[in-house]
Amino acid sequence: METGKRVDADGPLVWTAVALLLLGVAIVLDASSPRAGQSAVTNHNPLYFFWRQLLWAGLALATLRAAMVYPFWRVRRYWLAGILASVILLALVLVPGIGIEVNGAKRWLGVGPLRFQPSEFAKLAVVVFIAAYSDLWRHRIRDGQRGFLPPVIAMVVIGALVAKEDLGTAVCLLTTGLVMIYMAGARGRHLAMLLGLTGLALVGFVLMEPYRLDRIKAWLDPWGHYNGPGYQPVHGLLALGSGGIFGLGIFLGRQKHLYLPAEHTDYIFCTVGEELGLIGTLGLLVAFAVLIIRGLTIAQRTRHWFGALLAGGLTTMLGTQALLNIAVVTGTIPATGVPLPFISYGGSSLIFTALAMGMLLNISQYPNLRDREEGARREVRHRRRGYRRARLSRA
Amino acid sequence: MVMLRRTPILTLKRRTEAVLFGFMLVVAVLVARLVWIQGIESPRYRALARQMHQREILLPARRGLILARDGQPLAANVPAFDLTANPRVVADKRATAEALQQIVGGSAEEYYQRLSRTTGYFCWLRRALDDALAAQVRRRLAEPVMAGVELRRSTRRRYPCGSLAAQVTGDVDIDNVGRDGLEFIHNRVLAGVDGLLRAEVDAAGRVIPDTERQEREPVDGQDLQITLDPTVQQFAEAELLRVAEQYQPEAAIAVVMDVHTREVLALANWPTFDPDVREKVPIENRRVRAVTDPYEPGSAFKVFTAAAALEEGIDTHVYCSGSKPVGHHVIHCAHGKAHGACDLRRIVSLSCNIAAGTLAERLGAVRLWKHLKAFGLVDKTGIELGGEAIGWLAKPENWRTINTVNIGFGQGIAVNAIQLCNLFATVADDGMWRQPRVLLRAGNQEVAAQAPPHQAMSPANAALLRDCMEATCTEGTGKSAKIAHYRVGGKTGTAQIAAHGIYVPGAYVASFGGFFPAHRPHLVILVSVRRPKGAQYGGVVAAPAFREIARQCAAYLQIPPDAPGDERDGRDPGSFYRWQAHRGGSGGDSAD
Ligand SMILES: [Zn+2]
Repeated sequence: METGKRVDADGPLVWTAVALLLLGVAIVLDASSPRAGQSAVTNHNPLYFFWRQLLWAGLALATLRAAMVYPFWRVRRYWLAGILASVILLALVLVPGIGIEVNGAKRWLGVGPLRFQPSEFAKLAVVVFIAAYSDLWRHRIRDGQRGFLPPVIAMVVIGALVAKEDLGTAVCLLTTGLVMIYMAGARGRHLAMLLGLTGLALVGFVLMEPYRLDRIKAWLDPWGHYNGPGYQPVHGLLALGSGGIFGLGIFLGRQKHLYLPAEHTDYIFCTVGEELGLIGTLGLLVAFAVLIIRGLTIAQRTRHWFGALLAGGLTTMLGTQALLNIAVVTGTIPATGVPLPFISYGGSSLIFTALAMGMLLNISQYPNLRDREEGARREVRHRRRGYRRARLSRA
Repeated sequence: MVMLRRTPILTLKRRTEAVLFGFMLVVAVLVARLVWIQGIESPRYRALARQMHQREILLPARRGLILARDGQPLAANVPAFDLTANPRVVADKRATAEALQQIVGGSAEEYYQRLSRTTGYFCWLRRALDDALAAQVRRRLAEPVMAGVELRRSTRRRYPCGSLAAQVTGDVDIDNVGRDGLEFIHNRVLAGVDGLLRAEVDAAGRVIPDTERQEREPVDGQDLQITLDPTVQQFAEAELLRVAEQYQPEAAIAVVMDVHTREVLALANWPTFDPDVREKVPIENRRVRAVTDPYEPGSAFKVFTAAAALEEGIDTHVYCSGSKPVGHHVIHCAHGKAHGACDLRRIVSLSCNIAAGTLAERLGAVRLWKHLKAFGLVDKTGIELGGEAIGWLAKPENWRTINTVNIGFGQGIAVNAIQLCNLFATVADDGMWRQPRVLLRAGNQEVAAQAPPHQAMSPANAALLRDCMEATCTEGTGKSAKIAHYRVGGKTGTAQIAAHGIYVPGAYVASFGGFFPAHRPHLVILVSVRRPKGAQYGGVVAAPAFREIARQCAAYLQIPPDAPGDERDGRDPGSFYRWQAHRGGSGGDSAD
C-alpha cells in the first residue's frame, strides 16, 4: 500500500503532550500531599499519590511512544472487536461482585491492586468504530436507516451503559460520537433529531439518580447547598477565586488542605488556579486549545479518510473531556465527574489519554497517505483484504 | 462546484473547521468565566476563603503564683497535658474510645460520648493529664486507632501546701480561671493576658505549616505575695482543729495580725478543704468567713464601749445590781451575777453587761456612732479579699435606748472578724486605725494600703484601756489566754446567735481577742468559735486557743518576753493562785 511521504510527528503536539504529562505529575504532587500526609489510608505518606502517578506517567510515556509508531490504519481492523469488547466489559462492571465500587460509583474492573476503567476503553472503541464504519460506507452516512443509524445505535448502547454510573464520561462519549458523525457527513436533519433525542436521554439519566438533580440545584445556588452538594463547587470557586491573577504561589494553596474534595483528581484545575492564578489556568487552557487546534489541523490535512476522522475523533474526545472538566470546576455547568486529561491523578485515564495522543501523533506522520478512493484499484484490492470480516458480518 | 460540495472528503474538511470553531467558542466562554472568577470576583472569594481558614490561637499566659510572705508558693503551676480529638478524623470512635480507656483509664463510654457529641473538628477527651499518663499516650499516638487524638501542652494549678489557707488562696476551675479567694478576686492580675497567634488551619483545624504569625506576645500574670506566714497559719489552723475536735463547733476562725503593719499573718477558717482535690465542697467552707460572715461580737465589743467612754471623758463608774430596766426591757449580767461598784478596769476585766450598757446609754447614740465610725466598725476594712461583708446598722437618730444599751455590750450590731480584730489592733497600736492588709506585693510592685491611717483614740486612753484588758487575763474572764513571761491583754466574748430576730437558745459564738506583749504589743490574735458544744464561754473555748497560738508565735517570731518571771499561764490555773499568794491581788471570775 502507498504510504505517501512520511513526515515528522507534529512538533507542537508532541511538546504539548509531554509538557502536560510532566506538569501533571508535578501538580499531583503539589495538590495531593496535604491530604496524603494526613490520611491513614495513604499511611501518612505525603508522596503516596506522587509516586504512583510518576509510575503511571512512565507507563503513559511508553504507551505514547508505542502508539506513535504503530500504524494507525492497522487499528481499523479492530473496529467491531473493540465495540463488542466494550459492551461486554461495561456490562461486567454492572454485575454485582465483579464491578468495583469506589465512592458510590461502580466504574472499575480489576484484580487486586490493578484497576481498570472500561469506560476509558469504550471511548476509544467508539471513536475507532465510527471512523472505520464511515470509512467503509462513506456515502451511505446520508442515508437514514442504512448509514446513519448503525453508528448511532452502537454509540447509544455504549453511552447508556456508561451513563448508568458515570454521566460525565457518557457526555464526553456522546459528544465525541455526535461530532464524528457530523464530520463524516451526516444530514443536518438527522443530526438535529439525534441531538434532540440525546438531550432527552440526558434529562432521563439526570432524573434517574436523585443526586444528579441535587447537583443541578447546587450549581444554580452553590452557597445555598453548602452543607450538601454545594460544598465541592463552592470550595472549587474559593480556590480559583483566591488565586486571583497571579496565584498564591506554588505549594501555598489553602483549599487543598482538606477543604476541597478531589483536589488532586477531578478538581485539580482549581488547585492550579489557586496557586498559579489566572496565569496558570489560562496557561493550561491554552495548552488544551493548542492540542485541539493541532489535532483538528491534523484531521484536516490528512488525506486518508479513516485517519482524518480518527484524528478528529481522538481530538474531540480529549478536547471535550478537558473543556468539560474545566467547565464543571469553574461552575459553568452542573457538576459531573470527569478527570482532566494528563493532569488529574489516576492511571486508567492517563494511559488512555496517552494512547489517544500517540495515535493522533501517528496520524500526523502520514498526511499524504493515499485514501482508497484516490488510489482506485490498488485500494480496492486492499479493501477486499482489509474488510473481509466486515462484509462477512454484514451478510 | 456542486460536485465538489458533495465530495465527502471536502465535507469532512469543512465540518472539521466548524468543529474547531465550536471548540474555540467554548474555550472563549471558559476564558471569560475564568477572568470573571479569578479577576473580577477574586477579592470576594479571597476574603471568604481567608475567613474560613484563618484562626486565632491563644498562647496561654503563665498564671501568676500566690506566694506566702516568705516566698513559699501557696498556688503554683505544674505542666500538664490535655487530651483532645478531632472527631472528624477519628475513624472508628468506638475503637478509639476503648483504646483510650485502656491507656489513660476512665470510661470508654464517656470518651465515645465526647467523640460523638459534636460534628465539629474539636472535642476535649480528658484534661490535666500528668506527665506519666501523657507519656503513655504519646507512646501510642502513632497507632491508627489513635488517629485524630491529640495531646496538648497545658498547665495545671497546684496548691503545694494543701488545705493551708485554702479559703484565702481559693482555687481555679478546669480552665484555670479563679473561682474563689484570691484566685477569683485577683484573677485578672494573676491570669495576665494571653498571647495571640494568627495562623491558617486546614479543614481539620490543624495549623498549616509556615502560616503562623504572632499578633500579640503573651503577658504573664503577676505573682501575688501575700502577708500570710505559712508557719503562723499552720499554728492557727492546728489550734482550730484542736478546738474543733474538742467542741465540735459549726465553724471557727482565727486571725493573727501584726499590730503595726496590720498585715494578716494568719487567717484560718475551719472547716476547710483541699483545693487540689476537685470534689464538691460546701460553699460555706470555701468562704473566708472572717471576712464574709459578720456576727454579733458580744462582750468582746465592750472594748469599743470602754474606748468611746474614755475618749468622751464621761464618768465610768457604774454600780451593777445584776439587772437593769431599759424601757420595757430588762438587761442582766451573765448568770445573774451582780458586780457591785465597777470602774472601767472591772467593767472590762469582769465583763459587766450592766455597766457597759450604762456607759453606752451615757454616751448616747450620736457619740457612739461617731466612735463606731472612727474605729471602722461600720465600714468595710478594705482588706484585699473578695466578698467582705459588714453588719447592717440603722442611723443613730433612729436608735431606741435599748439599741444603744445593747450595742454597749455587743448585741444588736454585727461586725466581721477582721473588723473586730482591727479594733483590738487599734487599741494595741496606741489608738491608730490602719487598714488591715493581706496583699504584700503584686508582681514587682508593693501594694499600699488604700485608706490612710488615722488616730481613732488618743495614745493615753489606749494605754489606759490596754491596762484594763491586761487585767482580763490576770484577774478577769480571760485568764486562760495568759502565757508565762509575757503580759497579755484581751477580751472575752460570748454572744448569742440570733436567727430571724430572736436569740437561739444554747447557740453562742465564743470569742477571744487580745494582744501581746502588752508592754509593746506586737501581735493581735482573734479566735472565734461558732456554736461550740459542751462549753460556750469565750474564756473557756476561745481563750486557750489564743494562748497556744500566741505561745507558738512568740517562739517562732522570737518576740522578747516583756515580763520575765511572770509565771502565770492559762495552761496552769494554779499558777494564778501561787502568783496571788506571792504578790497579793484580787481574784475574779473565769467566765464571761
Ligand atoms: Zn455586772
